[in-house]
Amino acid sequence: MLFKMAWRNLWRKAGRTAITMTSIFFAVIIAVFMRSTQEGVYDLMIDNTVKFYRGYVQVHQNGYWDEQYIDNTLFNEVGLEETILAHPDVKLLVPRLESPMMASTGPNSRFCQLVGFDPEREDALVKLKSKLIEGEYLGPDDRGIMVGHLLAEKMKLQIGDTLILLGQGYQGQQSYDQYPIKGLLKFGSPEQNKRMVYLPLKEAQYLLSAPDRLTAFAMDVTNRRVTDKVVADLETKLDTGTYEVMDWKVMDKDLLSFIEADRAGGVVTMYILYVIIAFGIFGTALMMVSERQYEFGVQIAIGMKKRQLAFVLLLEMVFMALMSVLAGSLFGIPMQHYFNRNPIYLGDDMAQVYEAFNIEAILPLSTDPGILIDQGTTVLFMTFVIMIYPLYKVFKVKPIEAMRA
Amino acid sequence: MLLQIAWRNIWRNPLRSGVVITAVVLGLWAVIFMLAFSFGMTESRTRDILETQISHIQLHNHKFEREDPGRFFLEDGTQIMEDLENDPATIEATSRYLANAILNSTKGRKGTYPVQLLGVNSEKEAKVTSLEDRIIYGTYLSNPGRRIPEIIMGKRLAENVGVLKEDSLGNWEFDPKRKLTLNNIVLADGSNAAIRVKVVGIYKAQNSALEALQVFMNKEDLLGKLNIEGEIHEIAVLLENGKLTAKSKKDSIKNVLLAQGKDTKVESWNEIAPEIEMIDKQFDSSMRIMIGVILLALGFGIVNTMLMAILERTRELGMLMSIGMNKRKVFSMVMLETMLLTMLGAPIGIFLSYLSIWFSSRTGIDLSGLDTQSMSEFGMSSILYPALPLNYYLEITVMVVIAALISSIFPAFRAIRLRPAEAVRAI
Repeated sequence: MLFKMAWRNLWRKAGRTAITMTSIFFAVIIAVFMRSTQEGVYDLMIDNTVKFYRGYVQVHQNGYWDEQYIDNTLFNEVGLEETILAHPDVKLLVPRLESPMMASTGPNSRFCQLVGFDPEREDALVKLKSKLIEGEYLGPDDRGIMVGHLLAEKMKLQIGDTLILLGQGYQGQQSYDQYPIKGLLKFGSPEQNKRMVYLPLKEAQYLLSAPDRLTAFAMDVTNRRVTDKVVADLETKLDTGTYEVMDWKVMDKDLLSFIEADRAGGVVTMYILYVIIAFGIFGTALMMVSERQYEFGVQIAIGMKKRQLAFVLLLEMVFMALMSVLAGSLFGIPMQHYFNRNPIYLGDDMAQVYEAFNIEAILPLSTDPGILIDQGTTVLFMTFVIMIYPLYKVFKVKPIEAMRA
Repeated sequence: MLLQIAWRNIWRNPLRSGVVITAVVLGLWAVIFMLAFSFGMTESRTRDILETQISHIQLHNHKFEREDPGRFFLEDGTQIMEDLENDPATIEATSRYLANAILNSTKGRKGTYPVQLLGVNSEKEAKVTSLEDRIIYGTYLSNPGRRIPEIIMGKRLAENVGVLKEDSLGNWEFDPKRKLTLNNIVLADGSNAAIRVKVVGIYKAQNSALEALQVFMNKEDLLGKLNIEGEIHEIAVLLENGKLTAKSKKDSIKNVLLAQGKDTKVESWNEIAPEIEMIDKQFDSSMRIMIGVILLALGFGIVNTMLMAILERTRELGMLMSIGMNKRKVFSMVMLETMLLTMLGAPIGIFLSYLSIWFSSRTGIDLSGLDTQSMSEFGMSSILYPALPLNYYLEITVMVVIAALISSIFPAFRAIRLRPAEAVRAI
């Protein structure tokens, strides 16, 4: 009976219900939007720094990360790749052999970072082919190098010129050889443009006297949120005395702590937003009760108990809150996805500044469904707290005065 | 007349008006204060980077590059240095000799560490980059001329090469007796040299990459060991109010040098470290989005409250219409009411935020109670001074007025859609 009354009350004055529900609905939408932009920016930053070079998870010889030099490389034993790839969340496994070397043309020399790489798989992870601005992309058996375009520029080298690489190889071996430059690469960061030298893996292993040895397996996983699980799983499958498994959160501590510091600021913003949202909903609730004074007065005058009336009102508000929060969260999904695919453009001014860093001046929304649930529950909770006021008002209704209003 | 009616209407329901006004006041106060807080944070970070790392203006040879300083010295460097030091706009200037070198570590983490050796005037360097204040272990460079030259290195490099050791309790311990050899010091003619040095102190830098790279020693020591006469690679200048004046000062220095026929590279901080400007702009645009979203939320709150108020006042409005108030007047009246509510709250909110920013910028907000380790890693100090340039206030005021206008339209439309005959009868 009371249920029926509450339900009918909602539809009796559809306009009023609509206004109250819109205020809750938009509260959810705005909260979801705000939170998703915050997380979306972090996603973009992580993608730019992590996905475009390091990969989300890496496997090294145990101890390599702390002492990154050539003797701490892992031996790529038979079956290792298969074991890692067998994990359902590992999409791609990219072998690398990296070492700092001296690049020299005779009179001119400077430090560079040699990367022994698998051309096909490296491209699949970091889209290396798209970074080639001149020359050709190397094949797995080519004897040639691709270098960052600034390195070539500074050393006055062109496609076809020869570059000498020298440095320390495996177990103290002296390594030096010369290679023709076959391609020039352009990366996002100037640092990479000045340092990177790519040599096919086999040739690099030969140069550094480290056959079948790798500094790291970098991997791409199905999404950023499974890295903890992948690390834990791989640690049980692999011998942790020999190998170490790390995700980007360990390798890119600076980025992670920056995001965490920034997120703390974001929380403050969210609280400000909640206060404003709460006032909006409260204003609506306030007006709803004063508008219905007469109605309440009549109901009490004809014998309805205040307790019952309050219960009807409570039901109405629970219905409205649940429906609008649900609607808001559901509508949030297409909104997240739309703005994820069509991110907000930050303007030419920003684009110009960002161009130097090869970052797009965009603001994508995160598509994390957790945000919908979090914000939905927060707004729901807020609404329930605000509802105390209308209920309190019902108990204060004086029928005679109310009906005269 | 209409204004008077609207004004009285507002105060007929003080609770409702109170809610709307409070929302506007609190919303603006919170937003503006938060803006000032973040702005103060970015500003102090930028100032720290400028005053400990890159200074306001740097001068180099036109062909100079940091990776390979080699023989590209500043033409007439000592003369330029003297002129700059006599310039009234200069707070302090310092000159440096740069060389790449390699540090081989046999203790600590094994490996080969490329380092950048900076020969500096220790007194002036302390003033320009606060190097002396940033020493966290050991001492600062003393006078040049020791038999084994003194150097100071960054904390990260010190950990790498084992000059800083972690004991079993996890405390870092500085070993002041360690002597190291700097190998492969690349000289101007391309040849190599090696010198034996003693580490007397460890400094801290905001940029951990620099901490792992830069090694400082007295310029006389370095040049003496390498048998070079007083050449310099780099002059760094700290200016009065430098963040703002650097760009124009740079041009005037450049022009003076050009007139003397010297083709010197003069760069202001935003050219040396474009990322600082990027972060500033990023801050600007993300703040704008934040203000936009919060004003949107505020607007929705006002619209919905006022729409409900129209429902509540159906009878009253019907009455007004019946006794001859035309639609245009009803529309304006409702619009005025909403506008008035916002316009009452906005100045209070803005004034409150101005007051609290003014107050807190004098006392500063101590954040050391929070976990500031990650903050200090990004070069943020633990006492924060909120600040906000006036143009932000102006922008926010304009945005609030627009938001108020837009949110007052909907309730007004709703009001004129009422039919007088029905509305009067409404209960």
